[in-house]
Amino acid sequence: MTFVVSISLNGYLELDSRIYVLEEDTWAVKGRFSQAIQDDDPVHWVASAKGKFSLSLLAVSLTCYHIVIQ
Amino acid sequence: MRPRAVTQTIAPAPTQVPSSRVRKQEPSGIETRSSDSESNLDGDYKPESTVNLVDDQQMQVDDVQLGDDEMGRVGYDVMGEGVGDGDEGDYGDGDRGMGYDEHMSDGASPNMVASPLVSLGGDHANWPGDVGYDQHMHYPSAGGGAHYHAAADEELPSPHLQVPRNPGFHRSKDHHAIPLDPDAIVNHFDTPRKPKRGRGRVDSVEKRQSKVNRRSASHSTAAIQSTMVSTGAQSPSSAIPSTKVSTRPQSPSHSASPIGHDFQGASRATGGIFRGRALGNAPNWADTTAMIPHDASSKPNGKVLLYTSRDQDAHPAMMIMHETVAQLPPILHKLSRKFSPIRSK
Repeated sequence: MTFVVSISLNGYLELDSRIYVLEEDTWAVKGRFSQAIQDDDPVHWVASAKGKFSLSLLAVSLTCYHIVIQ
Repeated sequence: MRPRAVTQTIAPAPTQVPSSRVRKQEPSGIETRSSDSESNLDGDYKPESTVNLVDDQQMQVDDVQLGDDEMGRVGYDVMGEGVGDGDEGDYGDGDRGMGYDEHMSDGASPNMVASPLVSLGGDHANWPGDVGYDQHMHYPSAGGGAHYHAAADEELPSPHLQVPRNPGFHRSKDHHAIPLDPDAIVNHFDTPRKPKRGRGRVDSVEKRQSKVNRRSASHSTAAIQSTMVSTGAQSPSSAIPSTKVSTRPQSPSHSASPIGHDFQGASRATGGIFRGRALGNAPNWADTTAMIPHDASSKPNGKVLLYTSRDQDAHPAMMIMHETVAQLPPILHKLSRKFSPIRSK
């Protein structure tokens, strides 16, 4: 019997991942999560043609670990 | 003989004309001659005062100069009161005069034969010469087309038929609506009026009449009814419309606003207090504490897309809605609450 358990650690923002903000088609680094949550860095919302606002963030922290239990 | 205030009337034959011969009693006893003020509808009336009360009762007063005593005997009142009202001794030397005066008192005399020309005790006294009979008199011999007006104080200047000066129609059903003067209708419709804006003035009578008839036919029945009321006893086939009662129907969509503004339920534009609005609909400074003011700092919501990969074709791992704030920490706080640390496929 084989059990495949996929655990993604990307969701652990509390694990002090790196935070990026998309600004003018480039990811601008905001530092680690613990640092970015304390700073008051300005962000720029992108308005679409329909008047919708959007903001893209990238969180990169840990590598995904795929644990395969067999 | 004591003086008494009695209207003494000598009237001619009611079948011919309404004649008012009123004589007042002269206290000095001077002999007076009654004067006739009479009008003859047929034009052949002879001024002899013959009163045909009933078939067998006739009063002939031709060229009779009535004296003081006779004045009392000829006086009577068909209104059910007056001369013979239980006071028969006032008429002199026991002479009952014409023999009918004492029976005229109560209107229930058995000696009085019911006559269509004499109305006893009613408001509509048909006795000629009685004051105020002009509104209710009906004389079949008048031919049905006569409209006359005779009062006790007014002498008819002409023995001919009296044409009303007003050429218009009368509302009374007793009167005929068509003026006898044929030029009256033409003069009425040819009277210059203020031209209406937007259309030319119709000059001919035929065009105007046809227009009125078209209005009555095309609109509601109210116009037809008003026309019928105005024409009175006229037949429905009468094509002459009313000139006094407006035949224009009331339009239900007629706006009371002269300038076309919406008063929002108010009947007037000026002078009102609430102007048709309910109390409390307008903002009041005293209620500002209870009101939730529009936050000027409130911002629209926007999408926050969380990526976990830098790839071009990567899809966002998470999406939340957040206000378009200018700082990043509030967004990170919300993401940390929403983002699940462990996900399973």
